[in-house]
Amino acid sequence: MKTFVTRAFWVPVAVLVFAEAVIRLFFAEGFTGRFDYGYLPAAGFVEVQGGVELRRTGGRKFYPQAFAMPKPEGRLRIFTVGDSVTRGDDLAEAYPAQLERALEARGHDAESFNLGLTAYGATRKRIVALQCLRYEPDLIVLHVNEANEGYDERDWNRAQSYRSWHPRNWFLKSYALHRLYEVRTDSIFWKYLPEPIRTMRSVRTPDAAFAAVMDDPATLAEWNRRTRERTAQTVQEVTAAGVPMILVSTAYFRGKKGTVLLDDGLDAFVAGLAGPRVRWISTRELMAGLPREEYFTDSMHLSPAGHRRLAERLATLVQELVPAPGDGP
Amino acid sequence: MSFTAWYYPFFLAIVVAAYWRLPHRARLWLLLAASYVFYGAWDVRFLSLIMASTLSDFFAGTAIAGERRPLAHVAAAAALPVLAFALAHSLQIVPGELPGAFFAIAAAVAVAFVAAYGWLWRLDEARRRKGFLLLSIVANLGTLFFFKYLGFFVDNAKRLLTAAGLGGDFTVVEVLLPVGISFYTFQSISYIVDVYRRQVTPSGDLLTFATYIAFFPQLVAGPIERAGHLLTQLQQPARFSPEHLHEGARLLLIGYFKKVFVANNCALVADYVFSTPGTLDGTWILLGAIAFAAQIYGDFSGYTDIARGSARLVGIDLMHNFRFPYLATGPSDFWRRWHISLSSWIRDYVYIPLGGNRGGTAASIRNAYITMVLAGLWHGATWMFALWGFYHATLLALYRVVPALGRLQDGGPRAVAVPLMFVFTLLGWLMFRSPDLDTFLACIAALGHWTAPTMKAAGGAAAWLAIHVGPLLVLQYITRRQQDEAALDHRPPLLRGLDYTVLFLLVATTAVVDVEFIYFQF
Repeated sequence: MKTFVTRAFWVPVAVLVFAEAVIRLFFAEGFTGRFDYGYLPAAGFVEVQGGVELRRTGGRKFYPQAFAMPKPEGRLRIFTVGDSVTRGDDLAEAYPAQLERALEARGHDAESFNLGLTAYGATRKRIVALQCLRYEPDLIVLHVNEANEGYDERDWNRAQSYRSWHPRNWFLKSYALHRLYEVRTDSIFWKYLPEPIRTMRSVRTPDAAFAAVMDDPATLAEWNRRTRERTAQTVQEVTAAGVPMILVSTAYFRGKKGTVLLDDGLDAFVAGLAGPRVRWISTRELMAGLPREEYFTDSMHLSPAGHRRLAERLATLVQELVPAPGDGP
Repeated sequence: MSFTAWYYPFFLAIVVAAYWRLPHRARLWLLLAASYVFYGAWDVRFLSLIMASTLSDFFAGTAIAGERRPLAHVAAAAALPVLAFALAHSLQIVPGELPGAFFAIAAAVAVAFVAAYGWLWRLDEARRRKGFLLLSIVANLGTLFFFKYLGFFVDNAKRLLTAAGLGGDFTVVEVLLPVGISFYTFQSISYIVDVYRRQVTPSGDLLTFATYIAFFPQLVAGPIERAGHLLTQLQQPARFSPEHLHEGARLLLIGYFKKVFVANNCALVADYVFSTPGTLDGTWILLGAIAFAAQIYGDFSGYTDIARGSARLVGIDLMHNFRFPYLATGPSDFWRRWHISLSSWIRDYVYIPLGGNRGGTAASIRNAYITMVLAGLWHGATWMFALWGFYHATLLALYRVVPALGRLQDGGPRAVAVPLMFVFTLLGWLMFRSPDLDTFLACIAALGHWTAPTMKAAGGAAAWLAIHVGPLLVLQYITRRQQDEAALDHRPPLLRGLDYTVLFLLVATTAVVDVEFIYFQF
């Protein structure tokens, strides 16, 4: 009598069940929020004995950093919330770390944390900024950029798609399969396929929807409108909590060999949000006339020298907003 | 309904679960209903075509065997497809307007069939048998011509008339191509010819015969079955065995692996190359040809495996359609390995009746050209498919008249024969995939230009192809001494289980979705 299920059939079942069990039992922390794509507020903020660790976990790839809770007496705590521009290529070279060093050189007991996350738009920056309010910040620096709102929307749709119990998603309910799917998408699809091929046929519905509209002027206008609305909302909520802010507006060289730095109207918008407790820095003004190849790595991202220049400017503003102990009249 | 639709596994599971709980007769009703749902999911109006094909062949088949049915029954049956078509349209199940000419043509065909059926019975037996054979073939090929080739011939006639200054500014009704029409039409024709040749006993049971014509696993893209194989299985009640489930599930897994993992991912590169051939150089064209070779094999043999797996779950064994075609040593060998159900059909119903290899080299080469051009046109009504058929006929002729090539195919060193035939096959795929002659010529011209920067840029695409073709090659190596890639029984259970694990992971985590099967358009 043949059995309904062969021995060979049990091998994949055993492998998959084992892998899933191991992940859920031993790596649950890393997967909590993993498929919320940054929309889980506490993702990446791991509260440990005596403080908080920022980790590459829960769908947020923070640079590993840590701070004490409660905050040590007299220490100036700054969180910089941003995207890949803030993040930089290296934690020590990026402007939040350089800001910390610049402030220390000016006599502050300061700690400055880099919460830059690649492809984060205003929607997800707001979630990160509000989470920062839980950890006694003295200042929040918000890097404003119009380039990423589409990614926010795509990842929101991804998160919603994953939550759905549509049969298409059944396989991806498994942490193991979902992670493998992501690895294949990120490490093979995006890595190997040339861009013209990728844009012809995207992966899964949220990605396809994103690829289909990313050049549509009306969609871009809507994303820009949303960036401004969410940024204004973030400023209002953070300042209402009594925390001062510095806004940094991004500037762009258009085209691969563009030589003129533009702000796409972002400066005027950010200037409109400024007030007694909200200062702002225009990257366009700050870098005007400087050689692109020295201060930028591409059309938008800063080189170590660019980060340094921005950090120095920030340090000056921080001193105006948050005087060091002993400063003042 | 597509095999890759998310709801197909549910549909199949319901059919299989119900099937084994029913008595034989009810099973046939279930399979017929499921098949009509499966096909109707695309366009319910075209179910009437399958009904028409079923009824015309059923009555013609029984008539050839000398069984006369009352004319009233024939008339009622002939009216059925027309009424079904009108009903589907009037219920507006499918949006859009259809010209009244369609109904007029359909009604005229039905009336003509009934009239011919009544008249043919006045003839003596030999002429009557031949008459019913012709009636069925004309009905089948006429339908195929109307839906698939009318536009092609009209377009070419217009061009000729315009070029000759004789007008050509006229319009003919545009028709949609019903999915899979070439497959079920050829299956119907093989039935009626086999009945005529007395190789098959005609089915006297309309339910069984209708299920044979519409059997959903192979309805829209084959394999093109023969009555002697499939009809006889439907006539006998299958006994349940877990073996059906094991083999069916394995075929489904292999089929989805080939389609979802191999074909869909290779399609990304192939689609890109063939959409912009004029801007690319030799590196990209070569990549495009290889990508398409992998895509079309993964797509079509994957479809066949899913079809065979689906049928196997209800205890039905469909024929093999592929046998490692890219390991062919020559063109004859290739056609014994590629789309076997079509190539054997063409051989049995076109090539051999034309004379086959009888009559010397010249006659057999002539027959090969006729056969292969028809086989090319079977794929679609374009000159590129005809050219592809002509090209393969030329290969067959070359291997026949050039002794060195003939020896290479029949026992020559495989290390030379297989790569050479693969290069010939790639060239053929360039024709097959190019939408027009200009595109094909642009591809050929690009093969003369190779630049280092492009080769570097194409490296990512080459890596992508290697990642997605590599596992198929490993699977083929594992099964190299078997009939096809799905034959994994020789592996120890643990290794076979690991094979299943890897295949499942590759399918379940693949990123590219929603690429339709290539052969649906044929």
